[in-house]
Amino acid sequence: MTDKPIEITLDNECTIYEVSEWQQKIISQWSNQKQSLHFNLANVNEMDASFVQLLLSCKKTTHDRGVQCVLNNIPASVEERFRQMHIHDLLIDKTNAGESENG
Amino acid sequence: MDENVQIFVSEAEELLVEMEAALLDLENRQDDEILNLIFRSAHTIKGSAGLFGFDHIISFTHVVENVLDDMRNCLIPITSELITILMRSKDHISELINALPEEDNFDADEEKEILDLLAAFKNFDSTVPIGEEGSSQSQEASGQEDDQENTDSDHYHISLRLGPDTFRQGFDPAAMFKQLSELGTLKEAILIESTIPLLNDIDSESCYMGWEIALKSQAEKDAISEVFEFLDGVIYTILPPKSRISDYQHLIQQLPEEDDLALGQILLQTGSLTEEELQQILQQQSEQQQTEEPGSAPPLTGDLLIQNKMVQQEVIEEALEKQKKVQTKKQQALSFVKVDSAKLDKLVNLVGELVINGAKMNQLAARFDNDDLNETMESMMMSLEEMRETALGLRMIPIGATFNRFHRVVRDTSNDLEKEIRLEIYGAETELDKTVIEKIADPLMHLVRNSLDHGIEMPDDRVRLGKDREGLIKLNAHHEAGMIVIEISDDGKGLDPDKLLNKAIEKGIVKENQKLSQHEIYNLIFEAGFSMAKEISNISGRGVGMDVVRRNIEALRGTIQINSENGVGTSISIQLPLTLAIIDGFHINVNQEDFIIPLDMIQECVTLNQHQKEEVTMHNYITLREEVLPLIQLKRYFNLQDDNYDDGATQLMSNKHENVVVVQFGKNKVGLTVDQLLGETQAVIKPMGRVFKGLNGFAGFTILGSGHVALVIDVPGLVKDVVNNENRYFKQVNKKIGTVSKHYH
Repeated sequence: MTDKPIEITLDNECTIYEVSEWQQKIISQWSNQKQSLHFNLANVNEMDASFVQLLLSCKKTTHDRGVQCVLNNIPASVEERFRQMHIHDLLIDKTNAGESENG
Repeated sequence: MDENVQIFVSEAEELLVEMEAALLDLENRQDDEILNLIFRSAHTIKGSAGLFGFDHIISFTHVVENVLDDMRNCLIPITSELITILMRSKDHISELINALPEEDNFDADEEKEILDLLAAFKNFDSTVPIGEEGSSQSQEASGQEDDQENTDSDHYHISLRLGPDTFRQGFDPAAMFKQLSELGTLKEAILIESTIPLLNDIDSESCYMGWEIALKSQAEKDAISEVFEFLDGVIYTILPPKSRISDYQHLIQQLPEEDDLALGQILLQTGSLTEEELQQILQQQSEQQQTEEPGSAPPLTGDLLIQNKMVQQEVIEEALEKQKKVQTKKQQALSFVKVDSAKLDKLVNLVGELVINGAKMNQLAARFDNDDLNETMESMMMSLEEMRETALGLRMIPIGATFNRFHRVVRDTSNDLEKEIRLEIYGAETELDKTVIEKIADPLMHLVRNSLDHGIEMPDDRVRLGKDREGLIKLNAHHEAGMIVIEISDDGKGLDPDKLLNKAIEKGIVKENQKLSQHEIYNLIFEAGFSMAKEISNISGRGVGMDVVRRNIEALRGTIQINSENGVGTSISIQLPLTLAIIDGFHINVNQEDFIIPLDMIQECVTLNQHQKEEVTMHNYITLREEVLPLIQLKRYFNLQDDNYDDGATQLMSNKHENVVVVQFGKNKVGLTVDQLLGETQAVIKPMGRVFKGLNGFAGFTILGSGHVALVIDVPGLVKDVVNNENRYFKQVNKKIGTVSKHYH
C-alpha cells in the first residue's frame, strides 16, 4: 500500500532567489519520504536553471526512495525551458504528460 | 646580385623543379601528399619572397597558392587542364625569379592570361576530375558532404561540467545550448544525474549540472570552446568528430617543416587543442611532476591529452610524426652545406696540383732508397688518391634531375602533337660530373624532341601497325667500361636507310654512286643541314641540331651512336667520360714520348710473342685468344720515327719487348702498340691550347711527376680518326685501281 502523495503547489517566480526557501519547504512538507511528491506548476511564471536543478534533485531523491515525483500542469514556457536544457524527458513522465498544460 | 637573393633564387629553382615533377605525378596519381608537396613549394617560395619584399612574386604565387589550397580542400577538382595552367604558373614564377633583382621584367600578357584562367577555376564547380568520374572529390566539391548521413561519431563530443557558481553568476545553461545550436545541430545532450545531490544534501544555489553533448558542426574547435570560455569553474573537453580527425591530421601535415614546434603548439596551431586545454594539461603535467619521485620522467603531454580525452590518439600520433619529420629535416639540413661550384672547381684544381707534386715527390724519394721515406711516401700517395676521389666525388651529381625535366617535355610536346607518349626513366641515380651534366642537357633535349616529333607515330597509325596506341620513350643511364652511357630509345617508326640516303643525295651530302654502310647512313643525320622532316615544326625539323648535338658530345670527349630498325624504333647511345678533371691513367712510352691512356678504358696489356710479332708484319691485327684484335701502331700514327725507323712492321720485328695495350670503348676493342708500359698514374687533365683545336685523338695533356708533359689519349677519338684515315686511304686506292683499269681497257 502506498501513501497519499504530497501535493506542492509552486507559484510565480521559481528562481535562484527563492530556491533555498523552496528546498526547505519541500523537505519540511515531505517529512515522510515514503510518499510521492506531486508538484503543481500551473501558477509558475518563470523558472530558472537553479530551480530546475532542485526539481531534478527531488526527482532523484524520490527515485531513491522508491516513490514518484510528478509535475502537473506544466506551463508551456516551463516545458520549453526543460526542453532547452535537454532535461524534458527526465522531469516529465510520459505517463503524466497528458497533465501538462499543452495536453 | 646580393648573396642572400642568390640563395633564394637557387632554393626557389629547386622548389620549382620539385613542383613540376609533383604536378606531373598528380596528373597520373591524385594523392594528397603530392598536392601537399606542390602547395608547400608555392607556400615556401611566397614566404621566402616575402623576406626580400619581392611583392610581385608574392602576389602572383599567392593566387596560385589559393587555387592549390582549394584543390586540397576538394573545392576544385584536379583536371588535366588545371594542371596545365599550374605548369604555366610554375613557369611564370620561374620567369619572375630569373628576372630578379628586376621585378617588372616579365611577360605581362602571359601573367594576365594565367591569372584569368586561375580565376575561372576558382569558380569551378562541375568538371569531372580526370580518370575519376563521379569520384568522392567531385561529390565533396559539389557540396554533397553535408547531406550525407554521417556515422554516429561524425560529431563533436563535448563533456561539460558547470562550475558551482554558475547560477549565482546568472548563467543560464539554456543560453549555452542556444549558442551551441547556432554552431550546428545538437544531436543529443544527456544530463549527468549522478552529480546532482539528493534533496537533503543539495546546496540549491550551487550548480551541479553537467552534460555529455553530441554536436554536429562544421565549426572549429575554438569556436565551440568560446561558448564555455567565460564560465568560471567550468570543466569541459571537446572531442572532434572522426571527420575532423582526418582534417586535423591534414592540417598537421600542412604545417611548414621549418619550425620545430612542441606537441602542444602543433595541436594548438591546427585547432585540435584549445589554449585553455593546453594550459590545463601543462598545469596537470607540472603538478604530477611535483608528486613524482625526483629524477623520474615527467608525464608526457600526449599521454595526458589522450587520458583527458582532449585530443584523439590519431591526431596525437600525426603531430608526433610531424615533429619527427621536422627534426629529421633539420638534421638533414645540418648535414648539407651549399657550396659555390666555383669553389669546388678550385678545390679540384688544387687537388690536381697536389697529385702532380705528389707524383714528383714520389719519384724523388725513390732515388734515396730509404725505407722510412718510401713507406711515408706510399702512405701519403694513398691519402692523396683518397683525397682525389673525394674531391672528384664532390662534383658528381645524379643525372636523375636532368632526366626528370623530360617528363614535362614529353607531356607538353605529345599534347601539342596529339600523340600519346609515355616516358620511362632508368638509372636516374647514375652519377656524372656536374659540368658534363650541364653540357649534356641540351643535346638530350634535342634527341628526345626528335623522338617525339619524328620517331613516335600518331596513335591511330600505331594501332594500324599493331603497336600499342601509346608510344614509349626510354631514357637510360648506366656505367660501361669506365664511361657513362646514356641511351635515348623509342618504339617509333625507326630510320629508313633508303630514305636517308636519298635525302642525303638530294641535299648533295652524299654522291649518287657512293656506297655507304648502314651505320654510315644512320650517321648522316649528324651532318649539318640534314633533316628528314617533311614540314618544319616548332619542335624539330630545321636540320640544325643533330650536328650540334654531335659536336657538343664530342667536346665532352664523348661519342654518339645510332641503332635503328625500320618500323621498330631507334636507339641513340651517348658514351661520356665520368669526369673531365682528374683521371686514373696508364703511363706509356712511345719512342721516348710520354702518353697517358685513361685506365678505365684499358682491358689488358699484352707483350707480343714471336708469332704475334710476325702476324703484325703481315697485317694490322693480332689474334688474341682466338679473337682478332685490330691494332693501332702509335709510333706510326703519331709519326714518331726514330733514326733507325724503317717501317712499323720491321721495327716490331726488331724490338724485343713490343707491347700492346688493349683498350675498349663501348663494345669495340682495339690494341695500341707501344714501346714501354710505365704503370698507373693519376693524371690531371689540362685542356690543350686553342692552337691544337683541330688535333684529333687527344683529350688534353698532363704534367707527370718528372715534370714532363704527357698527352692524354682520347681512345674513342683516336679510333674514329684512324677509321676515317683508313676509309680515305681505301677510297684513294680504289680510285687509283679504277683509273689504272680504265687505262688498260
